[in-house]
Amino acid sequence: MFALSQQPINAQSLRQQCQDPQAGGFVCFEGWVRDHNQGKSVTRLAYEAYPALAKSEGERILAEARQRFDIVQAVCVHRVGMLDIGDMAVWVGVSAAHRDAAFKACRYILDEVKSRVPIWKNESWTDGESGWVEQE
Amino acid sequence: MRPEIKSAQDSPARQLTVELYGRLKDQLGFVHSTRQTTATTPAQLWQELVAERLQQHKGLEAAQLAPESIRPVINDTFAAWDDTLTEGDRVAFLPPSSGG
Repeated sequence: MFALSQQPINAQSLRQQCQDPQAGGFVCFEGWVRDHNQGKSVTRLAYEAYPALAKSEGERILAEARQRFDIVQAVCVHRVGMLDIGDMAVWVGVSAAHRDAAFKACRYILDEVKSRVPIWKNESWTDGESGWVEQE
Repeated sequence: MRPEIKSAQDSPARQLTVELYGRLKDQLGFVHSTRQTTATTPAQLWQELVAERLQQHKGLEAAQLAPESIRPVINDTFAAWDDTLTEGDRVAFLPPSSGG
């Protein structure tokens, strides 16, 4: 399941979606808003998405992960709207029978979501300015 | 690869909706617009939008709006630069993603 969320991400409920009798392990990645980026001091940021395409591209990435790796469940949620320092921006969780597939699939999903899902980050800086950030 | 731009001359005008995302909103100065255009492809439409903006905004350089990193979308589906536009289409232009 891939979703965008206007509300704070509830990691506990997403983790439960990954639980399965076939799973022997679970790998999770949480992306948080940090207070600096590319040499600038960040006060907060806003994520904008193209919702219809973000959803379809996100689901496509999860389907690819299920094909490439021997996993049981894969879930990803990305925040949109205004976020403060420390807020969770993205959550990826993967359960699998064995750890290797879970680690690899989690990494794959995160990397692909960052580069392919139409979501854009606008940072606000301590100098009062703000601007769109391109992928590093 | 830079898309090939064919001439839009002699093509009848059609009404389209244009949506911009991320930095493109700031660079082109609008978010959402309905316009009459003779453009028949996203490449022609993009060229038209950029030419208008460069006329109005002398500080902007064409290189900042080069299509190489931009993806066109027609009616919520990723499109090719040379796809055909039809009356009433919703066309969006997306800069590179920066989620995560």
